[in-house]
Amino acid sequence: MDVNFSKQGDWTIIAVEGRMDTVSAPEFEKMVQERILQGSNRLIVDFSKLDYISSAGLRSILVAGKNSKAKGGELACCGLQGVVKKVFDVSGFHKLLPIFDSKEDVLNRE
Amino acid sequence: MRDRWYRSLAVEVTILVMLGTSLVFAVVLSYSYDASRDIIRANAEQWARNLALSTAQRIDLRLRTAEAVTANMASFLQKSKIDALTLNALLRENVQENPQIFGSAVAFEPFTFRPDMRGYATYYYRGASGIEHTNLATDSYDYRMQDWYSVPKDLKRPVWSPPYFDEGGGNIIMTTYSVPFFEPEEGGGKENLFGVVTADVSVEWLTKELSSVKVGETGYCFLISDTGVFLSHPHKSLIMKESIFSLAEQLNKPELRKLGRLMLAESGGWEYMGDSITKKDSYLGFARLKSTGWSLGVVFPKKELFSDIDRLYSKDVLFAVAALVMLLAVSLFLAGSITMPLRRMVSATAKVASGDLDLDLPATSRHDEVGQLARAFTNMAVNLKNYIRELTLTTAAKERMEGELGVAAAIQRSMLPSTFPAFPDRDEFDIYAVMDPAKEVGGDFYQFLLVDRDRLFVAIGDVSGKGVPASLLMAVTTSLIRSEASEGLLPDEILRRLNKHLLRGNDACMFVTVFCGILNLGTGEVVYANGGHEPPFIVRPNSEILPLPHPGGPLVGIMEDAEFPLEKLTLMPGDALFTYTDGVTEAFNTKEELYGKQRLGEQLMTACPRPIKGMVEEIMKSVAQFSMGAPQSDDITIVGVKFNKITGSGNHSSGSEIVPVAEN
Repeated sequence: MDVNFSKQGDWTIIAVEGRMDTVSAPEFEKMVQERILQGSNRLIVDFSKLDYISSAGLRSILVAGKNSKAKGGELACCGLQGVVKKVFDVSGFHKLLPIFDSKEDVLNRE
Repeated sequence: MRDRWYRSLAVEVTILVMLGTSLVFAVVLSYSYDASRDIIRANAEQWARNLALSTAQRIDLRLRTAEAVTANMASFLQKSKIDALTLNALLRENVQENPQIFGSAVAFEPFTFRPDMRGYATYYYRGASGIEHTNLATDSYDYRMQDWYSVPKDLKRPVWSPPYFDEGGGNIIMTTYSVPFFEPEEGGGKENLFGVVTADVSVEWLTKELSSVKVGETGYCFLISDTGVFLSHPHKSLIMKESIFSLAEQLNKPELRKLGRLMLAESGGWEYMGDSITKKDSYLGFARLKSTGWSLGVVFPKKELFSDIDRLYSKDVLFAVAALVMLLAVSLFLAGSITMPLRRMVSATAKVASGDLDLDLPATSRHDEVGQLARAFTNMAVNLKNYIRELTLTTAAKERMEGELGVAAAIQRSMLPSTFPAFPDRDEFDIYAVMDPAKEVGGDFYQFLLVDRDRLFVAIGDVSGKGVPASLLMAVTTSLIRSEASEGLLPDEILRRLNKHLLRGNDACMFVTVFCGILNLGTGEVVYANGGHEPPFIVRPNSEILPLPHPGGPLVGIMEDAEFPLEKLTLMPGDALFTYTDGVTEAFNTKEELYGKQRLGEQLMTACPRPIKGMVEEIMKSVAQFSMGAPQSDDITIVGVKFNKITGSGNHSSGSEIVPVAEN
């Protein structure tokens, strides 16, 4: 899995690509945690290029959301599509985390 | 591995050093030998030229003295008329006072000495008893016909006669200098000859010093006349009998003829003569006598010329060999001591290779590559030892952990009902379940029990993650579900309680997906709730595969006040409920393709005529075949329930109200 971080205003956009599974999820969790500790606690995870997410992946998103919230920030999801969107729907994640069509929607929300 | 002594580094280094040194020695020696030979040859040439020249000059000097004495006499006779007595006294004195003159004669043309005398010739010479006198003007000896008289007379100038053997006179080899004198005329003309003055010079006397001239050990001098006749030579038999040219003819040596010509043409020189006269290879230095045109040769044997340098050179070679032998010893010793740690390391490596890591390599204080290697080797052995110790410990720990995991896996399995058929006395339904963890322990679980006679509770779930943490949560979850289900709670309430329970202190954000439902065996009605789990399929006997509509509740354990709606459906006799975890649909093959819901549906279609156990096993087999070779990424769990007929419609025993729950 590839993870790309970029800054837009005080938002940190995390674009994930490939497969977020048991193998890659812990690494993702670590990378995001590092950013949060550095002060980037407003996160947008862009799933538009993610092919697959397992329950471990869901958990790492959940942990990231919880950690950012603990620092007074928030985590928004965008670009859900295909299998990933289905998993979000089945798991009820769409009720847990704010979901947007695109990152622009998040940025324009304010 | 057989080691030969000559395969050692020390010997190889020594051989290379020896080869290199020998080469250097050979080059230096042969260069110095050649250079020395050149210098010696040049010196010898100079020396031989000088020797020939000085000897020739010495002989020449004597000849010139004889010339001068004779010329004086002639000049005197030309100027003044003297009587016989005075003439004889003068002549006698000339012979007596000049040791180089053997004899001297004065001869007159007829009637010039005294008008009354037809001829007059007087001769003084060194006889056996001192100076003796002879009158040459006898009837038997016409001196005017002799060469010594006629030649200068005709040429009107002084001449040296060719050397000749004076038979009757002194019985020695002689050469005669003859000076003509004339009637005094105006302007010094030479019209009328008065007579001839001669001086005989003994060639032997001239050359007797030649034998005393040392030319090395075996070299010698020789003298040849202006026609090449030997006048002096260590081989007496050659003197006056052979010329250098006749010798060349006899011996068939053209190079000797060439040498002879050279000796008589050049004023001096230095030539390599080979073995033309002597049997030895020789050089020839020569110089011409200016007076007579004779040539003096100095023969210098080549062997002798270079004998010193050859001696020196053989000493040098001997010294070089001795030096090489010493170098061999030193080199062997040094190379041996340099490679000593290497040899120790070789045996140490063999020990290491055989598994013995307790090395006892002596510490080396050397800082060169060998020392570095020795230290690196010791470090390597120590590190290897540590590594092996750690590996042993880790392996032991791992084995212990694996043992514990084995126990944990057994415990986990014991938490799930796994005896089939689970309800052998009930023929209204069949149930079959399989859980195949990706690791020893897993996060998947299932549960089923008869809540009462008519109600079958079934649950299937998946804890996020896998391995030990997942298995711990799974243990909690499965126990909770079981106890709450046995209390007769409805699925939505079970999930609500489970959610609440798991939320408490869930810092790790672990969650569970659960599907649970209760099948009313009397009606075929199923009430169920879904907490974020894959919706099960209903498999109809006519190969119809229907997925349950999803929208259920969220994942269990992460959301406060989560609600899990209670849904209903009715199974017809023959229908089966097929529940599974995402380990089935998300199994990967080696090409990174998902097994997928589509494939699962198709497989169910072909497997649906089989009894529930066969159907479940068929799907498991299909998944295993699909992901053959790829590592199992997640736990795989399937629970299948087949509703055969409504309770009471068949002949089942109804002896007891409470059916004992099958537990393992």
